[in-house]
Amino acid sequence: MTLPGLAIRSLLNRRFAIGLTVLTIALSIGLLVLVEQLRGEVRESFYRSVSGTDLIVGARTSPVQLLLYSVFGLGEPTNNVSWETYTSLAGTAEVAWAVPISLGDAHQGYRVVGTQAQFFDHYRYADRQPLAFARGDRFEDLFEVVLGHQVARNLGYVLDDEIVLAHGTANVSLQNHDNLPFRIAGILAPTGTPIDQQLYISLTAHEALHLGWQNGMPRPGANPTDEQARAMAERLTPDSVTAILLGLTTRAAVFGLQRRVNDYRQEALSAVLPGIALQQLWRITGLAEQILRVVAGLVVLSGLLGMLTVLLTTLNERRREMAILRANGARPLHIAGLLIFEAALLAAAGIALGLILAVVVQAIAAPWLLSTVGVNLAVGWPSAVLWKILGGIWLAGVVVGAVPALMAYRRTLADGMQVRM
Amino acid sequence: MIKRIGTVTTLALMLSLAGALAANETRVLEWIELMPQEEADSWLNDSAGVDHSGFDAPEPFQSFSTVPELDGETVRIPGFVVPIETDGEGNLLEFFLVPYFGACIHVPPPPANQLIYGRLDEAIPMVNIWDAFWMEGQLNIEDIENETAASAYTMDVASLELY
Repeated sequence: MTLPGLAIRSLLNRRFAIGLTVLTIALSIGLLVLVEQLRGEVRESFYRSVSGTDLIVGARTSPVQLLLYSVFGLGEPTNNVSWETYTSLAGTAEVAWAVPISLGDAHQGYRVVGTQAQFFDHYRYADRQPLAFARGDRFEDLFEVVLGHQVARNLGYVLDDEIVLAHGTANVSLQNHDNLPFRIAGILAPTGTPIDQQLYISLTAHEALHLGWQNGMPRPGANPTDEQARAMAERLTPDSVTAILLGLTTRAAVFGLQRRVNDYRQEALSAVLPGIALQQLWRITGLAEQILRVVAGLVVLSGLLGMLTVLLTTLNERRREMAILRANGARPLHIAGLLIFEAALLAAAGIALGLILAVVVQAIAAPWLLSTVGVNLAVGWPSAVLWKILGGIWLAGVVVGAVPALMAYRRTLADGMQVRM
Repeated sequence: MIKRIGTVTTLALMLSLAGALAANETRVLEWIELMPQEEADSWLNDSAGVDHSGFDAPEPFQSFSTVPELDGETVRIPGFVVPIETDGEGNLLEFFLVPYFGACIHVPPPPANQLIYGRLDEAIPMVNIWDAFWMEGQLNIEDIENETAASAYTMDVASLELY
């Protein structure tokens, strides 16, 4: 009988302990693969969130904060930017386009963004991809709303449904602007960015929502009806906006303009380059990623150590087996090879099972991840880098197998042949 | 026979010349060389005494004039990367190379002719904006048709490596 055949039969004979060892390795590998895949996806969806925007302008704040509330829909804006500033900025020679956005309202926990129809022309994500409509079109009427893909999907909305928007950005709202329902005019195609989680209405509609709210609470009896709001909307120009996305005619002018915005006398403003703010933000969030990697690595290490423990303890029980092999003409080298082969087989089985485990978990968790955190986890095979890591782990498994192999090599002859019971 | 030796020497001479040329091909460029001479002179005089106190920020110095001789030259220049476009998977595709990383807010940013807009043929993993890099490639001058700017430097980046 050949060596591999012997090894496999020997393993089958100890199937329970060996099965558990393989499972331990599989779990650790599964965790590692999941962490790596998730890490890649988070990083990707992070960097694809904004593209083609040269500057983001908001009230004076830190670049990361401005990026968070204007692009990622996280955190609260510190202040607004006056409408005069917006118009003068939009009229600056270097500025090709200026899209204002107004924040502050929500619909069932999803943020409502007041903007202009040109937002859909200029906003880019990933590799300068423009926004596309899955259904319908951009808002035209005052009381029309465009939904991000996840919003429509999770709330089960279809085109032409009427929805009510709420004041404030809490998940549950006590005060709805329910005198003014909005018709769903369009649903955006999925982007894998925070866009999917937001609703878009016109700036005028955003103002109209707050008619009668000027004192911070609704004036009793002052809730305008649809017709009243429409009549007033003719005269509505926003006082202020929350942030302004800028595209420049010449990219090389970006630093000069940024400087001028930051030095603007009339109002305290901040202008940030999305590329730099993204890096600053990633520097903070990237730390969590590194920690996850380290933890996953340690789990793999403990999996391999578990395998070593099992191999070493069984080595003791297998004295007789080894002795019989030796008596039948197996050389010490054969015994060592047998043990290394076993370890390699275990590691390979663990890695294979771990991969299957990871793919299954991904397939199950992907819809949940997409709807709760908006991370689009594509079920797929690991990247080239991950294959290399897995290869390295397999090699480490073989090295681990060398420990019992070396011990067996050195003592099989003396050991086991003598009866020491 | 003599003729053949002559050929061989000529060939050897040409080869060594070519080798020397290849070695000298990538010229290490200083940032100030990107600025036309007379502008550089006046700029150096102006920025000598920057006032770090007070509220009056100086009007940023802006310049879109370039040095025509540099067009098409293969150069090597050190600087910092400001990422502008990614490939959609978080890899760097287009960026500005700037002479310094914006730490001091007391002085205006570099004028436009002190920036090079780098384009990579193939996206590379995102780099750290706090690290300095050597950028190498063919420098081009792009004419810009609008009232605010005349021209700007761009580069087809052949390599970007840690300084």
